[in-house]
Amino acid sequence: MPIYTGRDIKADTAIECDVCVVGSGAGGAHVAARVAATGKRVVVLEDGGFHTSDTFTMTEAEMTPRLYQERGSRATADGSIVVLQGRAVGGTTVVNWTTCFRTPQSTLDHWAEHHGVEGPSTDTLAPHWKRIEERLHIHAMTLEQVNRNNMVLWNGATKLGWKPELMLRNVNRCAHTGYCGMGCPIDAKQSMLATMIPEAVTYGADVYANTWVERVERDGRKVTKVVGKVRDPDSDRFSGHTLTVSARLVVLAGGGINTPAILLRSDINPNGRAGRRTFLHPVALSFGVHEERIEGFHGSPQYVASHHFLERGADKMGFLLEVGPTFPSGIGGFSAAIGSDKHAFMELLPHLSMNVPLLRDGFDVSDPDEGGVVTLKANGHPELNYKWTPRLEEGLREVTKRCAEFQLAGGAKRVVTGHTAGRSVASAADIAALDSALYGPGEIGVASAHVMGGCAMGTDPARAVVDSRTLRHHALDNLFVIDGSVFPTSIGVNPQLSIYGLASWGAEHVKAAL
Amino acid sequence: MSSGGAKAVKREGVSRRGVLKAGLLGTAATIAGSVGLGLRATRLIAPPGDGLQVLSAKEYAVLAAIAERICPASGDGAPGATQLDVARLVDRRLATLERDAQDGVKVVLMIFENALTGALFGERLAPFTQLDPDAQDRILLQWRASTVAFRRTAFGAFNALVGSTYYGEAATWARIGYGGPPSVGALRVGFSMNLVDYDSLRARKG
Repeated sequence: MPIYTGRDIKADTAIECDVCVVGSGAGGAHVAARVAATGKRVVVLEDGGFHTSDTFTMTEAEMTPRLYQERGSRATADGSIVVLQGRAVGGTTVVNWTTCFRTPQSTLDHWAEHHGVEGPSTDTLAPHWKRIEERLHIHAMTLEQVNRNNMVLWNGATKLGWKPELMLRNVNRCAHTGYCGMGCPIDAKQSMLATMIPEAVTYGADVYANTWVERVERDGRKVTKVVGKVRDPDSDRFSGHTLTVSARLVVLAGGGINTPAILLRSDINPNGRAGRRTFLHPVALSFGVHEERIEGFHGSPQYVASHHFLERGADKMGFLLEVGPTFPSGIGGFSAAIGSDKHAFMELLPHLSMNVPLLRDGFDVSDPDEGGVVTLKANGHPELNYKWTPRLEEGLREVTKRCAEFQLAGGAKRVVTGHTAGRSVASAADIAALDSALYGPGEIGVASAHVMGGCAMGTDPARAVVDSRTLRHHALDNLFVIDGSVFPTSIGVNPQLSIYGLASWGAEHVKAAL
Repeated sequence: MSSGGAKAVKREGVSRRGVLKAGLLGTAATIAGSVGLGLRATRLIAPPGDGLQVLSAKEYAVLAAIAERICPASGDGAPGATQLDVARLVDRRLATLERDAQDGVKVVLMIFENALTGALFGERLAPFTQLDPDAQDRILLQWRASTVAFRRTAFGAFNALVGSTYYGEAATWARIGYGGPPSVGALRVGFSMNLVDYDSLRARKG
């Protein structure tokens, strides 16, 4: 069974299957492969294109519009947080940086205690993680492989006693070029494009790329149809044709923002929780400036992390320290300097190291509406209003200070923070002065590469969208949601392995329901 | 809650009130001339030879003026945004977006250009495109540091569009010490054992 693109759909088309999976990323691809392996007829619908490794040119200007949501321009409604989210067959796994962590025990405990989550636990997920780690060649990096950008974190965190760790990555025979965010041109990255989607197709699944799911239709407690609008793969505009799928079971796996948007367009929101509590792992970028060449654009994006500040107490946002690659288009767009100042900063590019610390949002137990809310614009496309709180500002302030601290300890001569007005830090006194800097929307550059939540799982139908014991929608008997949108909070670490494990576990419930 | 966080929220509140006050005073002071200010003409420039896809001639001129100030030509060899056709490239990028996103950029460009908007904030009495380069830089920096979140994020949007487009161009890379990506072809030959046979998965072969 093949992968179709919008070019193959030349008329309004209706098909039937056992399971229709909406989305082909970390969640959808695993479900599709696991269910297709049982011989059931599986159809996967994907809004993005079928972009293959031979077309990955490793240039930002070409790949960003092709592989990211809203052509790389997705952001929160007020424009204060850039949201990088993949859009292609394989979803965000095509463009992620291959970092893998199992879901932290503290996150799972928090879900059980505060969000009524029963089902997903370390015990239930561990066998799935183990199998996936083998399937996707997830393995630890060695210190010899670590590039200079990551060594700054390794050295700085070691000096400060912040216990850096080498990461696990889902790569096989990796060339360590560093262009993971633009699609891996040699299929070393074990993305869903290169692994589970081909596996699903081999088992008989049909994949329809360039198909934007507008809505699901229902009759009582059952979904009856999935209605998609087909795009022309060249222009990315709607071709005028529809693709309608009738399925015994439907699995929504479009990820945060997109999955709740489908529910909202379908008027499926009985408790008003669809789209609420959407989380981003907000990242306050900053840069170390070194005398020697760092060349953060060479070597894999991430090898090292420090969990030292992940648990900062209930009243503060924890964070994970990580670094990221320094490619010119991304840095040029992020640097808020203008004129000769921008040119001067960009001339430092080979000497820059870059911090991308993840703030763990969603853990404020006093705020049931923490995070963002997905709503629909007049054209039916989603919009995310993300709440900027004192807790977030405190987190941005603290993480900016701590990043400056480890950069200086790791060899940087100074640190340029992400403040739009530009702040340079070269001493302990400068770090202390960051307390008086501004951390509001548009005052400091913030980005996100991890969209989570919006269809929270839990056992209470009044609070949760999805039943955590099965990942079945609380109000619809044949509708499952299996992607990062079901997380009741952010994860606190890069989420791909959490989604893989949950999807593999959830697929068991889908199979049982057939 | 940290005291720093609480301070930040208070500052935002004060800022909004301050803006309102400034806006009212500005309105009173300029009301007689406001229509004239609002209608002052944009300094147009020649459109690209192959035309514009999203932006109007006015919007294109405003964007080109902004782009040249964010990424100007410099004496030490940096090409200017104008030389690299950044405004035209942004127009092409916008053409791939949904209509509402295009409209958002168009509206913000014209708000930025408008002399009346500038007058209300006590900044200027002329459209952005009519100002000299130093004055244009001053306006951009005022928006960047504005107490009004909309103006800050509008600056952020202009800066992101222009900066990412400019430094996405290979012509800028040598100067900043970036050698560009390695040869994709050579990599694929060297790692041919990895490559997935995607063609075998396609509904339509070839």
